[in-house]
Amino acid sequence: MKIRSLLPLALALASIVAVLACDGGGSETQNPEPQPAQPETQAEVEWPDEPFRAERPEPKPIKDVPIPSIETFELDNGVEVYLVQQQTLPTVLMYFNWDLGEVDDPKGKTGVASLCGDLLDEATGPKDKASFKAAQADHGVRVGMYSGNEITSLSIRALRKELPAALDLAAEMVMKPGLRKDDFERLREQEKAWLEQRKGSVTSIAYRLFPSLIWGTKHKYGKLETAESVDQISLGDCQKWAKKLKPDGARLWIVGKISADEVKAEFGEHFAGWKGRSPKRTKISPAKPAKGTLFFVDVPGSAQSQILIGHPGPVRDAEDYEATQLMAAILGGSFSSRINMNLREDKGWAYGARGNFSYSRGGSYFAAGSSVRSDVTADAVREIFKEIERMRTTDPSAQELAREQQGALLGIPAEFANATRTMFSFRALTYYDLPLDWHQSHQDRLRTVDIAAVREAAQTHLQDEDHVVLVVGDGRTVLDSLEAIAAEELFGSGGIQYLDSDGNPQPRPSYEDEGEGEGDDSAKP
Amino acid sequence: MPRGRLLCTLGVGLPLLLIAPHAVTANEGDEHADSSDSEFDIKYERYMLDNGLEVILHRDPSAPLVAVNIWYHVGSGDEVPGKSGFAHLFEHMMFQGAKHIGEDVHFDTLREIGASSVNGTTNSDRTNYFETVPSHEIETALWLESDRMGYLLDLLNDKSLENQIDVVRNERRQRYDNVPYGRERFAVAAALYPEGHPYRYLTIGKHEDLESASLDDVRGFFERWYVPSNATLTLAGDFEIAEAKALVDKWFGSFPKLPVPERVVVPAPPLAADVEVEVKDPFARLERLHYVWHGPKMLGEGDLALDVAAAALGSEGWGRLTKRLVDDEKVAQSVWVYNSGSEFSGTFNIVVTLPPGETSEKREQVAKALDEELAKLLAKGPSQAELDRHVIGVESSFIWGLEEINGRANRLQWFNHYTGDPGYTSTYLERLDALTTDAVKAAANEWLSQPHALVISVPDPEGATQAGGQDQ
Repeated sequence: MKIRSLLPLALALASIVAVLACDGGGSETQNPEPQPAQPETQAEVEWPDEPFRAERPEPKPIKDVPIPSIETFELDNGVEVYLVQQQTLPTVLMYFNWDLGEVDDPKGKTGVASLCGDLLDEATGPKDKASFKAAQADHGVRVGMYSGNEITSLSIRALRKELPAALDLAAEMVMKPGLRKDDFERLREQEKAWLEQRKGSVTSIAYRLFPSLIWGTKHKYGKLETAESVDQISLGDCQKWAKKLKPDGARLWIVGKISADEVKAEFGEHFAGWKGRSPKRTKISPAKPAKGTLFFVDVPGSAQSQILIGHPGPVRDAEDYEATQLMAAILGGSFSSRINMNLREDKGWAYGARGNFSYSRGGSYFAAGSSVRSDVTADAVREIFKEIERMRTTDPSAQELAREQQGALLGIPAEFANATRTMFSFRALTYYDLPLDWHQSHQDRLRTVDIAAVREAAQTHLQDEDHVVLVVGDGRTVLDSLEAIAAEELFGSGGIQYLDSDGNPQPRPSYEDEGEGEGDDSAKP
Repeated sequence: MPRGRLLCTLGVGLPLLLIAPHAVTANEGDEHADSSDSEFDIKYERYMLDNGLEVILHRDPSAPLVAVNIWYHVGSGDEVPGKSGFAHLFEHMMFQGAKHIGEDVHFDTLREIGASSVNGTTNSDRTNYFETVPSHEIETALWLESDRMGYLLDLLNDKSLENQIDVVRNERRQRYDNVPYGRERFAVAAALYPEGHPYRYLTIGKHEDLESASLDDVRGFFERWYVPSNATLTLAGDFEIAEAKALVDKWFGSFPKLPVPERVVVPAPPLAADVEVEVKDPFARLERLHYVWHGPKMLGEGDLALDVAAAALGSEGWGRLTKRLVDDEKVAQSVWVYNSGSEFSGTFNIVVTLPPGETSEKREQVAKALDEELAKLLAKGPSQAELDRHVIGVESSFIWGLEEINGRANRLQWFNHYTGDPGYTSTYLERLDALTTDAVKAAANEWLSQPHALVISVPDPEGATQAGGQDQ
């Protein structure tokens, strides 16, 4: 038995535990394994109810948060390096980032970045797919190319001792890309098949279409990749695309057991001769205001409808970012938010419901949504609107603000809990051109947000009309009641538009075979 | 059995609080603080309270955070016929409130103190609850966890149960009924497990069983399974060991000693012959073939060896089936091979997604490739290179998994649950290193030469209306 200085606590506990009078002897308690007790003695057991349980415990003093430092330097070939060192694990994780993505895809060829990124990931010049993947597995490393909306990323993940092998493979990927015709054609067919798959279920359809409805299909953030646009892409497009992955101006994020000198030495050795300018960032125009419209995609037999409601929002470096953040958190940012508590915990219509601003470099959009039981779809749309309107027109409670404000402040350490998280936190800042010491002033701004500021942010950044409303669900069950909402102009004057799963306008689906009368009261089991 | 009235506690530990705020196991806990310098190990100390609550402490003050992670050793595998989905529904009820913390404020409280990674999950074997809190708020997390362990029933009411039945049924709709291949998951289980077997309806359960759950079910389940002696509490992060022990004692130490519930192992009867089932799927656009065999239980004999078989067949690029079907013959969109163990038994799965278009010929090509590649594997085993790749991959993933404190807490819990040894990593890696190509071959022969089930998901957008709302 260990001797510990806990007597006061133990006494306090014991003094309020009435069972001291129970005589049971002490022998059993030393058993290393719990013994099943006899059922008959289980009939009535006592659960203590000490007074201290009634109150939430007092927290200890808050500790200072040591934010790990970051080193920045440049390699000879112009790569900007951001290094977060750690000495606890023998690992190294790197990301090369280029300002290159779907926004840069040539007109009519949406999907170039995605498909060409996959093609580079697949194989290299010297190694076909099987040998390239086997070479990674032989060293337990991963080297991957991924192209998103605005950033193309080459990731390198290796134990420190395997880093040279991983860097060789990564260097091969960008300096001697594979670009095989056979791989290209196979990947192009696969890309189209996955696009087809995304047209099957309500949630994948809704999330695929929503940005194009917010930004417009002509906007760089609103372009839609389709089978037709993928068919326009040639191997030549990927050859051109691969040439853009040059070092000068690319950012290299590193976290791991490695020093700046070691980084320079490793890159000098494994990326020798790599030169050239990386692509310039594409300018993004703001979203154009649209007339509020309800868009509907029919997925017959759907047990739930996916709802998304939104509109363009502020830029990431807006002065009232913190007030907007807290406002959105109260409205829809977490389990505790109004939208979730309403749709899930009060109504029982959904597994979860959220609303928030999605930021990109060129701006943001607000989206609130949920996957809800089909027969309550229109009701859920109305409730989400009510919550948006309540947020705009009334003050948040002091309790709500305290919860989100304290939570946001106290939650910052988790963003820097370890070296990898630290690296990602810093990386997110540079994506928006924010300074690396942004969290200092962010804390100060968070503290000054008051009820009026939250209300102000809601009035400024939540629209009272001209929302884009997208519902994907079983038309037979939901359409009549959605058309009623459109007729009321709840979200604006744009009416209702029927779309296919690629976003093309359609005539209203008809359900003549089943007769008209069934509509409203045919709730599904 | 109603709780509350005082008679006498079974255990006799409470008075001992005076001298032993935490009664440790006979071997003085398992002190692993300096036991090994392996880069894979997580240092921990394990001990047990008098009431049987198992505690694992892992100290790491590098960030001012504590991961609080509690496993109850009960899952959907412990459900009885007619009560499918109940273990998971119960998990939802654990967030609805308890006597001292109040109703439906669990998430609010954690939100306000800046907690992250807040959730609970249920599988066939266990139910876990976790939150990572700033270390100065460790006690609030213990307050929340102890209150729902001790006083859940005080606030239990019909309204909140009905609400959570709705929520869980919505969860089932969202994650199973309304997505591609959701029907396939039920069909695979139905092909493998007979009526009455707890794995048959998956952890999410049947709608009709969920609907019929009652307050008595909640009480009964709580009293049987959610006793201190059936739980393991892990704290990982920034605290002093003595301080953490004192806090655990304060919040959990006075709870009574109650019987450790007995788990009934339900074996899966072998398939007598191959089974083939076609499932119409209104939400899939690509046909999918899911081949499945019974496999070893989690960490059981053959489990690690079948992981190697899965890697040899299904790895991207160099996996035998993947290379042949996806890259060479181009008859498959993707191939996914995995071996998955649970407490009673496991499954070995080969999942082949076909491209759009006519599929009858491709089905046959897939079947032929599977026959031939499996026959080769059973005859000769994997190559040494394939085995080595798998081993280095697993070893690396163990190291990568050490960075997040909640990941470390989960690994301690995971090994503790399945082996009784939170520090099983070293044994696991010894077993992994001891694997030979012959051992893999033997395990593949033992399990994969048995009959299998094949579930074919056939895209059926037009049939959706008939299928709508169809429940298993």
